[in-house]
Amino acid sequence: MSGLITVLILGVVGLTSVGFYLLGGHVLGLSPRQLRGAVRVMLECVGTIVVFSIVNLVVGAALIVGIRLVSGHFVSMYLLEDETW
Amino acid sequence: MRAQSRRLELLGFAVIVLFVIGAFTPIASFVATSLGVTPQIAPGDAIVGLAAGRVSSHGTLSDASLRRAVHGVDLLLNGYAPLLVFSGNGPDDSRVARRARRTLRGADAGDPHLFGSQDDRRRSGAGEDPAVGPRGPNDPAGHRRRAHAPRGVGVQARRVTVLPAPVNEAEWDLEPHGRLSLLHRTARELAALLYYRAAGYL
Repeated sequence: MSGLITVLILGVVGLTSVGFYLLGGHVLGLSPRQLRGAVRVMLECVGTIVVFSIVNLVVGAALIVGIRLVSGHFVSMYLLEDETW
Repeated sequence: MRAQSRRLELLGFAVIVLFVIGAFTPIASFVATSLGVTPQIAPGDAIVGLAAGRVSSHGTLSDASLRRAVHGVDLLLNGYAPLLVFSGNGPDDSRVARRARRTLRGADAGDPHLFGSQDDRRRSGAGEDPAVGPRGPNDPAGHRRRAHAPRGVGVQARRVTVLPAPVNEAEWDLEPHGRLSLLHRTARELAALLYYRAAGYL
């Protein structure tokens, strides 16, 4: 079952990617060079998101440790495990 | 500026590669399994059920907590120890504990004793994980969070002899979402292990 899901996901994503590449090249008149630039900007955005996520987690951890030290109350590090960070 | 953009691009590329490998290969199961502990189920003085997620406002346990609780009760009823202790905390602990006791009063629990702890972490001074009970507890920590067990065992081993009893083996036939979820939990456990070492808990 998991193999089928993998094939389905990769198949659909591959199909739409190739389809829109052809659409952009032949119908919209976009050049492959523009695609390369767009991919680089996209990767830069992903990298920036990762950096901000790490900084947010580090600041969150520092806040928790700070609250523990200042107030003497136990605050769990599990507060940082939410995926929305 | 250009070099910084290049670094961000490389980081973004690495994350996407990691995402694809994590979602479409069994690497998450490999890593999780390598972090897990071998079960050592034997008679002890107490069974310690580690918390694994929050209790809902209706008193419902998380999936992993429920599995651990059931496994702990199973060990208790099979006579591995006369005492079962649950760890964990929450805003409505007392209500949940009352409800559990009410439920158990109606059940035939025999001789073994069952207690719910309010916040064993602070009581034990162990930080994130509890160190409860006298010597020789079985520790039903695990399932896909089997990797969680090393931290619990490490902390508890300072005061007692711990016999780990993970609930399940890591699953291998996971869907992409399950693999990413397992990878996320495993990465969290790795970070937590590093934190435990830095903080001197291990």
